[in-house]
Amino acid sequence: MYREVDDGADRSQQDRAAEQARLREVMREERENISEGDKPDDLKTIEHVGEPEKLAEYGTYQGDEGETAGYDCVVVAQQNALDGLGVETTTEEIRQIGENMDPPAYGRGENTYGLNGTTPDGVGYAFEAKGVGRIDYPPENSDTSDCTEAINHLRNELSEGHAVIAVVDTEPLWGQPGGHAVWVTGADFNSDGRLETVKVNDPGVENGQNISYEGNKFIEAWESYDYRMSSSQESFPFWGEQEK
Amino acid sequence: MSMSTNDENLGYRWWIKVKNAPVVSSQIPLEAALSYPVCAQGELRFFHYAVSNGQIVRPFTYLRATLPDMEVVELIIDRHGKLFPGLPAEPGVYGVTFDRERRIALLNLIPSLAQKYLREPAGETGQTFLRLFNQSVPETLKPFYEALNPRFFQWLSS
Repeated sequence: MYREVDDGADRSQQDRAAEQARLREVMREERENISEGDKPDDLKTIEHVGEPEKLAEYGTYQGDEGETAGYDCVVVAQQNALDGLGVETTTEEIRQIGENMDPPAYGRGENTYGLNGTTPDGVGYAFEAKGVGRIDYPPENSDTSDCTEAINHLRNELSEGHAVIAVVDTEPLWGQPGGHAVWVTGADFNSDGRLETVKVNDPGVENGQNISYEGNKFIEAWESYDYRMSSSQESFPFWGEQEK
Repeated sequence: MSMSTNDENLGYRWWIKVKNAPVVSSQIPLEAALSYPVCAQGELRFFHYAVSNGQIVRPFTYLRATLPDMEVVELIIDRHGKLFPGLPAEPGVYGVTFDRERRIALLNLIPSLAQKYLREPAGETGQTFLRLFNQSVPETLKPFYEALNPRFFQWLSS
């Protein structure tokens, strides 16, 4: 995560984390207070895609402390997703893979002169390196502003039981801007096909397993990075089982 | 991405386009912040900087993009702290209040300013830009913006 040019609330990292947690709690309460029965018919959720509950156990927090904590969202999201896919790895191994790529997908420490973190193009590099395949969106030479197409891609990937990591700006989600990555584990669509809720394991949030972001807010956050996401080409191990 | 001049959100869209330009997304980490643009003749100029724990680590790119199509034509990554001579390598603490609407309003003034730049006085648009800019940009970063094109800031007050 980073902070944008004009977001300079001069607070400690702990204060910001506490505020993020508080905002998340308020959002969760607001969502819970609107029961499905109170919604107009045309807005009722009719389709759930993905398995956010089953995948929640793999989500972990990138932390607030340590040399790389501030810029490890992609590393942690990839490690968590690979864990869910049944691939053994560690965050340190993923950092090293990224550092050793040409060009490097990940940088840290003094040798990077402040260029710490993962490049947007690098998101998903560990999928490829650990043998589960990788497909990036939006496709090359496509219209990067096509929201409908982006949502279709997201729905398709989740429907296949693939691990999806999306690049977002945290401002619409947390109220403070920053480049960030989340593991998307599910999505809810209403009867007119609109994306209602996105379920994620968010490495930037303490207890960020299976949290929900409102569809419109997620789209706004995602649009800021041209609806960029990277998906595994292999499915979660339980995926075939549940279809039998 | 549509770049219609009738688009009220054009400045914001330009900014997103630069943020996601292939030359940027293949080299600059997500964790780097992109500055607001500064107008020059026929182009906009930007820089990236890193922030950690409320401190601006340092500006480390110089980036130019054409107008109106916003193709990035130059990206210099400053690995040795020589890009902004005379300015501190680590500008330090930043402290302004974040406001999303103000940020987007500031970006959306850019197309109009770019069209007027050096052809006519900046007038009220320039004053509005300066007001929003001063409210939105940390004091420690202002010299870096001015270094991108000092003439732009002189013109804004015209």
